[in-house]
Amino acid sequence: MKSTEEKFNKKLPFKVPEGYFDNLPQRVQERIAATETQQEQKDRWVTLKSQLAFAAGFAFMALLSYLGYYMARPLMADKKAVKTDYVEIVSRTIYEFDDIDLYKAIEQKKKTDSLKEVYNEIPHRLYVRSSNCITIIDEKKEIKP
Amino acid sequence: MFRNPETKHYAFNLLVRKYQERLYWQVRKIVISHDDADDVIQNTFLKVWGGLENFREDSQLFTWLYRIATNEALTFLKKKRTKLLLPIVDVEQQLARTLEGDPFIDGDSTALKLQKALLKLPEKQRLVFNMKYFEEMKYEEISEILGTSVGALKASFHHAVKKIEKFLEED
Repeated sequence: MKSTEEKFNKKLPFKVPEGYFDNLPQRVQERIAATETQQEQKDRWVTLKSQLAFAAGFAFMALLSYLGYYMARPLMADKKAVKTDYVEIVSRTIYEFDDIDLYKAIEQKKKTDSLKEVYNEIPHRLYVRSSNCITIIDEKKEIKP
Repeated sequence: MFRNPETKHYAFNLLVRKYQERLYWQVRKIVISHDDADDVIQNTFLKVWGGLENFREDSQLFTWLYRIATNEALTFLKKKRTKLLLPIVDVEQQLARTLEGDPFIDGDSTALKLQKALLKLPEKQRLVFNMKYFEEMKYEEISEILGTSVGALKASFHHAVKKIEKFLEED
């Protein structure tokens, strides 16, 4: 029985251009150099693109913050003013205030309150003086000319 | 040498010079045309250059190179098929026509007949036959390159031989 080698022709029918294998390493090196240059340009562009994207994002955020700040400013200013006033009042009074002041303030208030009560109790009437007697005319609004 | 940037180019040049012919013939047997083989072999070396830093020394350099070259050649045929919207059989017919028309094909009738018969085989059987018969590679090496078990490779080679004999008898 014939072996596989004997059955078929082992010779390949292919050939290559003259000097092909002498030039191939050089051509491969040139191709690698060209690819690396392309890759470097691509990498540089990718880096630049990401930096630009970052800068644009940063600028956008800054713009948003700026707009947000100026839109909310009047509100914030009022709140701040109230807060400052309150703090100011407290800080101003806290040192001036003592027990005597407190008593005086209570006394004063009591007087004012009692006067108010008396005033409320007296009906609003007009007193007309004529010779020896005083005629009380009722409510002011009922006086007729 | 490959990991040192100063010697990398020099080492790569030595590698190309050492393996270019064996890899070229492996590719040429798959794609048939010299121009296509030239494209594929350049792409193969570009891939090798890009992957040198990741090359694991526990696998043999030659096996690694062979695997890249074979995959590149098969990918090339697959792209050709997709590009021309051709079924597998038509691509093989196109390759057979190249055998007759390519200026870099020798007119030896028996060698040409064998190549035409090989183009009628399924892709895997053609690959196994080329590597075993022409390259005289061991089944273990082929197994490492193609990722197929030795038993399956032996069966493929056996079927290939039988089919080729039949094709040649019919011709």
